[in-house]
Amino acid sequence: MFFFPILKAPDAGGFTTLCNFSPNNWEVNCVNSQIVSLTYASDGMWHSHQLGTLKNNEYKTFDSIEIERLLPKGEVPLLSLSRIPLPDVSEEIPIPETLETTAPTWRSTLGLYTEYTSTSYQGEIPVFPSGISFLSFPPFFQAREEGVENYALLCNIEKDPIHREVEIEIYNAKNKALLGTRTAVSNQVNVISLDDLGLNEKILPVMSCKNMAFVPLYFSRTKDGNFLSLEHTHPPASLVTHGDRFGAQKHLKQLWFSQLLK
Amino acid sequence: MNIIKRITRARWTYKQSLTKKPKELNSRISDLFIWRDSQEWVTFFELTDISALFMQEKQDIHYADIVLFSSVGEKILTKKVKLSQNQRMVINLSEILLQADNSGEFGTFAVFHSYIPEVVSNLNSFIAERGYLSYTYKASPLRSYVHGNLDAISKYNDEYSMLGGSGILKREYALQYELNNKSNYDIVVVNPSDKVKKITCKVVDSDNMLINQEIVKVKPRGVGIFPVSFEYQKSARIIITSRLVMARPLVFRTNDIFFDACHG
Repeated sequence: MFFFPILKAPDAGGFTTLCNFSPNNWEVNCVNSQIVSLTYASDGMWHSHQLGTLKNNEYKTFDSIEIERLLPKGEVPLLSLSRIPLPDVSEEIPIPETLETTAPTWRSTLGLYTEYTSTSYQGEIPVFPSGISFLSFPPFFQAREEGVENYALLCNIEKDPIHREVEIEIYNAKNKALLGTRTAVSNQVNVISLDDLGLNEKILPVMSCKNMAFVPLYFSRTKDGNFLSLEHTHPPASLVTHGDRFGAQKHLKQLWFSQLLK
Repeated sequence: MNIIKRITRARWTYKQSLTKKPKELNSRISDLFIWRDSQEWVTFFELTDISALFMQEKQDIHYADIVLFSSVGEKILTKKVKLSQNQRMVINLSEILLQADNSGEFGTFAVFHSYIPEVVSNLNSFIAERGYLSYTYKASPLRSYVHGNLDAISKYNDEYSMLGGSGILKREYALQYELNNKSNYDIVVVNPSDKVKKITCKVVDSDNMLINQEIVKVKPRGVGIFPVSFEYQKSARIIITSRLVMARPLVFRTNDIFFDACHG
């Protein structure tokens, strides 16, 4: 079960393009309109509003400027497609009854833009179980004389409408030195600057959290906003294929969490 | 699922896996990444010793073979690279391509790691390079990153095997991405199968009316590029048709002043 957030980053707007057509012609039969809903956490509850409908084969882009007026400041806007309306208010995150595919997964375009340009990736954010761990080896830090800013955008959604706080630890994979700690909260796109950690283009950083999972996006921009880059790391299980991939992921997490001692 | 639905679905799934499993457990697996090398484009690869990530102790030196193929899937050259344990190496593919004559402006490459950790073999798994590459366009000061997306090719001893699945029926990959008339696009599709594939790229407008259609025959390990631009419609989308189980494209978006690259 997935949502499509509208991303945020310093000095950039966010946009999300939703599509009401199947990404393939063999898994689902997409012929009807679907409801576009906006869901956000506030006052200890989930709130959902209908933003309209998308007809079959229709697509529409939603901009952070227009959507952020509809929800409390600082809350992350979660968009979804569904065949029946979501409840206006709920204690647990509502589950959109929608069409799902696997090859490929039903996605949207999640992007960031400046006055001059934009960048995007095809994605979706799952609702994570509470308390699971996170490990990422992001090789995206860019250093340039012209001045580049680098950020991690850690996206989390959980079922409870709260902002549970956790600690993110960032290490140097080579010598296991702790480069810094930052806080992150659940149900948020957590923006973490990577520019004050002493990184360069040789250091492989390790980002970890023992009790919250994220889709980790990495965003770089030139200071003038003329050039942007956005991509995510694969989960550790993607370092192998076939066999017991999640056994491999478990091994990696156990190994690295035992080595990364503050 | 009722019996009719099962039979209907089986036409698309029976013996048509997304990726095949190599016969030999000690095979190395890689995506087929796309390189571009021209006056405008430079390609980089983030090479890390992914085998070393599975091991605690300091290891012997590991290596990786970067194998470059032309746009028609012919091997151009192999570059053996000594890996740095738990460090990044930003490899400039365009510098490696200087060693080849007439390699063209685009093609594919694979990265095979020399060492297979015992823990991976014991799990009946294979080390798979699906990592991260980046591009610059017109000497842009920032690289645009994209990740790999498919287990496409394996190497055992000096033999390559194509792992991409294909079937009898034509499949559509309808990219859930809006193209606009302010940009130019290159839609790029790799053939990870062991047979020549006919790949069709349709451009349709927001009313689902056909704007343009191109067909390219792509050899195994090769790559097809579909340039897309349009003037009179405000936006459009693309539908790729082939017998590949998943013809997931790479999208390059450019105009005079900016560019972006993303996976479909």
